[in-house]
Amino acid sequence: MQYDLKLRFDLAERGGTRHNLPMKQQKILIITKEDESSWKSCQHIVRNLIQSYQLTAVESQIEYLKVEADFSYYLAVMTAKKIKESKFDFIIWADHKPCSVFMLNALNRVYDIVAFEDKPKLLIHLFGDFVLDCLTWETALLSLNEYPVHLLVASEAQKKLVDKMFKSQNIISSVVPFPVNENIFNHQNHLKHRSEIREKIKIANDDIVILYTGRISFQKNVDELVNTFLKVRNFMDKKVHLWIAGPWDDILLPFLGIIGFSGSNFNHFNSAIAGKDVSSIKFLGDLEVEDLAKVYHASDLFVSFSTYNDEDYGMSAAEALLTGLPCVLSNWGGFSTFADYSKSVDLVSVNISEFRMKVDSKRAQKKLLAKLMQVSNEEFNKIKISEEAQQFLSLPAVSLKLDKIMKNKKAKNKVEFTPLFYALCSLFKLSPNSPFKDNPEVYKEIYGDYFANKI
Amino acid sequence: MPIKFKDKIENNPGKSIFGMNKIWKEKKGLAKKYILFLTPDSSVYCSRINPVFSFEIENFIQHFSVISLRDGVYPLMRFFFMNPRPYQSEAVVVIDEKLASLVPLAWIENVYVRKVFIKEKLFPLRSTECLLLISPDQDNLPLDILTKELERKAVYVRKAAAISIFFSSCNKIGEEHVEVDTAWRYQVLQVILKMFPDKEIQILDWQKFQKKNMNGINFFEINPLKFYFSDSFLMHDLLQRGATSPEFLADGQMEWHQENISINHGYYIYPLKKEHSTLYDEVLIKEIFNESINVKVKSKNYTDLKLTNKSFQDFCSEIARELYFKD
Repeated sequence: MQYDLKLRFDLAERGGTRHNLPMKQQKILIITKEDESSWKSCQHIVRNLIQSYQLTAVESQIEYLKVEADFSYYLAVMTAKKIKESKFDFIIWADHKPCSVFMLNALNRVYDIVAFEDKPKLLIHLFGDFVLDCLTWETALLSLNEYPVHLLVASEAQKKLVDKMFKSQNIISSVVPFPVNENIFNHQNHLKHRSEIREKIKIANDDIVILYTGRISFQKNVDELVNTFLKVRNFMDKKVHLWIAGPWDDILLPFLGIIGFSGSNFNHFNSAIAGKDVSSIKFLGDLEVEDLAKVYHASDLFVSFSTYNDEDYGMSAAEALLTGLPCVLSNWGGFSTFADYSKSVDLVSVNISEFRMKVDSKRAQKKLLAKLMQVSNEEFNKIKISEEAQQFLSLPAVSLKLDKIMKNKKAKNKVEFTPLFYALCSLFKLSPNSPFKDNPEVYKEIYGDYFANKI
Repeated sequence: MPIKFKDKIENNPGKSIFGMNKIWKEKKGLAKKYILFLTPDSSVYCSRINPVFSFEIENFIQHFSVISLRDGVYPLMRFFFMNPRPYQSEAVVVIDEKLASLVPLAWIENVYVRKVFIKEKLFPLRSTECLLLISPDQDNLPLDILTKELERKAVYVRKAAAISIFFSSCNKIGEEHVEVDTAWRYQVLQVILKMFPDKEIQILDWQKFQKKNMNGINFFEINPLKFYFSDSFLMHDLLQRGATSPEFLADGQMEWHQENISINHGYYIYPLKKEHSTLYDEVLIKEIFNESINVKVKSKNYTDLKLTNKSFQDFCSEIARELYFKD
């Protein structure tokens, strides 16, 4: 299926400026999975990445290929042969599934007698599940040394995690945030939507609304958010509400060996809030994108205390910033990078335990209360927050980053895997379903850079 | 009375089946086979009402103060036959409201009934697709009943632009069953195609079912006789994932205890009425079945799926039809 080329961003029409010259006409192939990911954030990420590439390569010819979820090495070799015939300059792997390694190895095989400079460059967007694919990556050592490939990660924390798996002569990865569609998530119409949604939910216009969006999963620590909210709300003069939007899941801590039944997370959540007055908490459900944007507009503050093991970015926080919401986020994974993009982001440190990572509850209360005071005093300018975030996270902003990366010259690399990578692979070989169950130290070492960031 | 149930549940937070791994794991061969036969309808879901099938754990009622039996007519009648009286006076059993008339008099004080409710959504989605969950088995879904059931639901189904079908459980595993099962599914499909000739119909496999965005989809569980089960995992799964069905009550309509199963749905739970009438006459059944309804199952015969002897199964089949037409 071809993507709608009308989605191409016309910089001239939008009055945008482009400081560097457009790329010369290139032939680009973007590869994604046939069926959209069942993870909503990944659906948005893939669509938005494609649109950013369309902006980057306005002068170029882009073709699209969709591969099945069970893409095999054989199919990859067949595809690589066709790619070779079509003489592409760039191949972009823009989806989290299937794992890109088959394609990398297949390209290396098909282009084996072609000079390094003449091989089309492969750009791989890595997602949070990179760690989980380690055994497939283990097969890619030869290709990483012989084929021009560059890894793109969404945050500084993810870059640190990925980089420590490789001992590389050249820079092996670059940070390219997953873009947010600023045509949907922006500050326009926020006053209109604020009234509309608040009327629907029956709350006053000057009440304060804290918003969480995203999956309601055990490691997202929504129970912690609720308990923090319940502790601080009474310190405010104004009425404070908590809105929670997103689908529930029952993924507990599988890689630590804690597997849930259907309904486990809901039951756990219910126990955590039992006997408490939750009348000012609303569950809005799994929203369509238009309603989601309206709900962002109707809110005052975005909060997430997630410590999800694959939290390489934080699409919901990025969307919140583009709609002009200040944020309080756990200092975990990709979230910490958002503090670089906006002064309105506050980070809460994470406590590491054998069992479960949680935000420091005292600090969380303190930071949330301070932020609510600022919201109450109207210290935040939504338009300013939104415009500031757009400079880093919008489709055009990301397209400029991609443009720069695509212009980098190909350079032969000398790559090895690190002992940590091999240790990780061993754990997955020994216990594929719960590799970190009896090895919390390795878990901490792998994900250490997810919480060892700035505050 | 609803308060009594609430107390019972809230005062026993630790006494849950899911906290007692030893008992949970001690399933006998027959239970294992039956669970497999009814998979995925029989898949486990977590709730503090302790949802289980009666054949999963022998003598389990003595361990818990609240048990929700996921049984259909057949296993439930077997349960009451084998347990004519409650083991302990405090323990209560929750059953499907449609099966209330199967409760013997000795159990009435200890039985509550449940009925699904769904919560109103602030941002409702209206999908144009309709999903039919079908558990195709000759005992569970005879074709005459299927036709009648589809006629009942036709008004809703015809409004949908497309129909998806998921053939759920009743998968007999073993070579002698393959042909029978496939043939029965074709017959079920023929009935549906005949009923809705102008609809685009898609058959979902388990992978597609799991990955499909169910938000806003209208679904119907075609389990009219409730012969094997009355509380399907799939129903809870769909409701949790945002699907809806016109067959369920909205929340807040009744003054009964509301037990939330997910953020989108739950069960109303209420006691049996005192004027409860029963189809189950203990004396008569004992006369017919002469104290024993069990059948010796050869453990190596993996396809031998008998909870009871054939006579008792036939008797339950009659009762299930009687209940359906009474409704």
